[in-house]
Amino acid sequence: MEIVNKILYKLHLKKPPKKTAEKKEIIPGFIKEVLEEKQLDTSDAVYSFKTDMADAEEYGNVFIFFDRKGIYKIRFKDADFLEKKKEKKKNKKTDFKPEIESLVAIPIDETDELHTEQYLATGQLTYTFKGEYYSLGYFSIGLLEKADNFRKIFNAFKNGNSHEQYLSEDTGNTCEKCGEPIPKGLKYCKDCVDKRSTVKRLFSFFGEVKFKMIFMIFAVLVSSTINIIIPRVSTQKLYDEVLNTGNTAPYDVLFKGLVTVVITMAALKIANQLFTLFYQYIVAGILPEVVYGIKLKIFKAMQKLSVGFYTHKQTGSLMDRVTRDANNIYWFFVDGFPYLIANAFTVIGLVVIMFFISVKLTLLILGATALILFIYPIVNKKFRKLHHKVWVQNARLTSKVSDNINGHRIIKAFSKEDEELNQFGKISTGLLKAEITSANTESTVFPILSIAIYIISAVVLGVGGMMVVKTNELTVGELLTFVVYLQMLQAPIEFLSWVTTWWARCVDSSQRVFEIMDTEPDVCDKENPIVLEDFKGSVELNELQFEYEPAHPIIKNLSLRIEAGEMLGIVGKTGAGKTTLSNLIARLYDPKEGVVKIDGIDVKELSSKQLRRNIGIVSQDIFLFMGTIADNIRYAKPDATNDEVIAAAKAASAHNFITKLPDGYETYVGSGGQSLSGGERQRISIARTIIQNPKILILDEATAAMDTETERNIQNSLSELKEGRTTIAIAHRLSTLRDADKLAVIDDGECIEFGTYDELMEKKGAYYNMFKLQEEALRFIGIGEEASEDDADTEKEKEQNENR
Amino acid sequence: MKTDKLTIEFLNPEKCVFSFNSNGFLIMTLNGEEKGRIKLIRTYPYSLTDEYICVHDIDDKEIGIIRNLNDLEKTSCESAKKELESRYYCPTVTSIKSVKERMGHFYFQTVVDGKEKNFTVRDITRNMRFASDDTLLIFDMDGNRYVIPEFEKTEPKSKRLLEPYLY
Repeated sequence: MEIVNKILYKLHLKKPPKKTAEKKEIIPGFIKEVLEEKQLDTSDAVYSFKTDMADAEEYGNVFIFFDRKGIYKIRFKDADFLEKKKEKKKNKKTDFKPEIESLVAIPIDETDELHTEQYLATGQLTYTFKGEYYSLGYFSIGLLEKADNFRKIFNAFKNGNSHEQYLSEDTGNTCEKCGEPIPKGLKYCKDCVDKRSTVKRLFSFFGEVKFKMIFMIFAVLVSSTINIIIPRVSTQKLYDEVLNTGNTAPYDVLFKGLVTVVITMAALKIANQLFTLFYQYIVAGILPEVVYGIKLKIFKAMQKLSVGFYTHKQTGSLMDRVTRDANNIYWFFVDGFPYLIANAFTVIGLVVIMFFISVKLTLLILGATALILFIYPIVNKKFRKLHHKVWVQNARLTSKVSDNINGHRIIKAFSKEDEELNQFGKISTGLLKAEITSANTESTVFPILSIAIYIISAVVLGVGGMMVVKTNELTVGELLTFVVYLQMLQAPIEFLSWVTTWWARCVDSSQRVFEIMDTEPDVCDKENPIVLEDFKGSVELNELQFEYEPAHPIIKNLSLRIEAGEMLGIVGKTGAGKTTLSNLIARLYDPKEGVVKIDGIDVKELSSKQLRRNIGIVSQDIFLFMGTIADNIRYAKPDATNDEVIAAAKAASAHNFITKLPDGYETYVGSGGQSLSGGERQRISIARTIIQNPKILILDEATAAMDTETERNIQNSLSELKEGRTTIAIAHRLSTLRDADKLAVIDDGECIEFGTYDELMEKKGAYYNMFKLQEEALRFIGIGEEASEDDADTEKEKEQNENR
Repeated sequence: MKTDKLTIEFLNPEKCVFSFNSNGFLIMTLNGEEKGRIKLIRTYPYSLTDEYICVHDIDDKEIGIIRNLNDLEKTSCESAKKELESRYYCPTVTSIKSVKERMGHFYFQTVVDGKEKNFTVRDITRNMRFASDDTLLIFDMDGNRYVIPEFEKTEPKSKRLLEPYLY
């Protein structure tokens, strides 16, 4: 039964049972054996870490673990033993034993804390004891996350805190098929990924149009069959029954035969064209529909992904997936798939029919074809590389042009036109060289290949001629038909030899497309999220910790509380973690540790839709969508009336500048639209948030890009808005926070001061110092500011004149 | 503003002493004052490996900049260079045996510092780039980086395998 099942799994007729990932052993069995031989008890081991560096500049295998007594560092002699072990495991040989080179034990009482240090391509685990640093081991930078997890677990264990949460972080992804760990960033195991399953999924896009597909394939097959029959019923009949010099039939009979051949030929050709038209018509109908579906699915999948995914992926690569990858799939199915069926069928049909005419000649042809099929992939590989080179040079040129257009003001301001031209010339020359090499190779290789094909045809003609003249194995008609078939074989074979590359590209693209579709968002709702009936807006942060990259904590153990309706002002240096805090409150990211509570409930329990509808963020990064100003203000509330739009714009001090624009609220903004200044864009984004009417308003440096007067106007409008809603205002200028009920000073991810304005001023701590510093600075800028405002106005006027 | 005013105050090389403590960490004495464990940072890591070296204390606060390590006293200079070598160590790819593409991922079989090393590169045109005119950097999927210091002098087969993907 087991054998039957194995065969069924191989043939993909039955799904193998999913392997559940085995619980990760703290110390692998074969290492445990070796250590036990050295009388080292490993039964109490808490956590382990395998590094790939023996020293700062030397690869090797070092195994580190700790228990309640100490930290143990074991260096093995055979540098590649773990890789070997894996291979042997595959071959079911488990007799491999690594040899210990050195073993170091550090008593736990002689350690205070572990640290991870990051260098260029490596990192170091160190520990401190009584203020002194000691080295524990080195690792490749790719292992930073694992090393940092080891650090966290050890420190938590040493301090008597719970370390269970870090252990769960370490489970990682394992392949459902083989149970092996899946590398970071991959959604599948490369050894088990099944191209056929990708193909199956790819074809599932065509599920809704399967009947049309069946019609198309039928039309393709009929068209190809007719194409194959034509020489047999025209060329052969014409030569053997009409033009044959040995034929002594009367003229009438010959004429009749000729007419029959001509009419049959014409009828078949017309039928062939009709079927070709038919399948092309179906293809034209179904493919845009399918590609539209693919693009829609990718876009839909991208909408549900969390912010973290976008931060780690470059926008270019994501754009590629929606456009280039979807198009790769599209073009294969438009230009490749129908012809693939037609050509494959033609080749098979031609070979069969040729066998009927002459087995000997067909075998000769097949031998020559095998040679061509061997040469073509080599040639194609060469061309692919040459085309890629051209593509790369082209991309460089495009980037340069784009860079130049975007930076034209700077180029002119620094008078660097000549240098830019020189650089463009260099890149352009690179492209020229790549294109010349590609064109030269193509113009040399293809004629050589054509000559080879002509030589094969000539040989066939010669051998066939002998068979007609000498052995009478063939008639003249049969030979000529054979030659026609041989010529007909050339194009499909060429097509089939390079379509594999095209197909591979299509499968690669679809794999990338599926990766987006399969990505699970980091931040997602629980099964039955809580929907609050009365969203009040109190915010509580409990021992919050967060990091974007391992070992680089941005928020460290931060706790604070704001009651509903209160205003909290957050101040701190650039990079202190203020914006991250607002991202955590809006649950754009989940904290690594600690809890964010809204109205006393963990945000992870709440419906993120309700949460985000009730949180309005005016951030430093202002983004306006393509569309009119009114559309942008209405973004959060599409059914907002014109009155509401104007009222929101007035509240955001945007109304005045909008009415000065020739197209007013219908001014087109965003990419390619009216250019607005930073302050103007910010005011639109404030209006957008005002119209949303959120319960929690986060102002992240909302008025930073504005002059003092505009800031004051917006401050006044916002003060009115703050009534009845919780406001979290992040600002550098302390004057912005004059109305705050509470103030928090954030420094290096920690809340170093928290209290009311009076409390903090009385404390004469960090806030007091900042306040005094700014007061002094403002006294200076007070004079300068007016001047700079005038400058800004003059600049603005100039800009508007230009636009006009 | 006059450009001649744009000057940096460098640390006096005669007053800087670098050495390794008994635990193997680099320490510094500046003007006779012990600064404890310090970090050295290359400001131009590829083109000027021994010049413009920033000295930070253990809390990452800048102590100063050394114009040229070679101006230091011999033992200090050697210690500083040794520290920089290990801090900026980057595995060197000496030979590339094969580059195979599968499902948009590039599987590299290479020899790194004399040992065989396999790694996977994703989005190859972005993760393989020149750091300076002739230093090629390769970043694998795990975030590891590898370097080919003199690409033009590397063996022809390795060059041939990489050239199509170089941006």
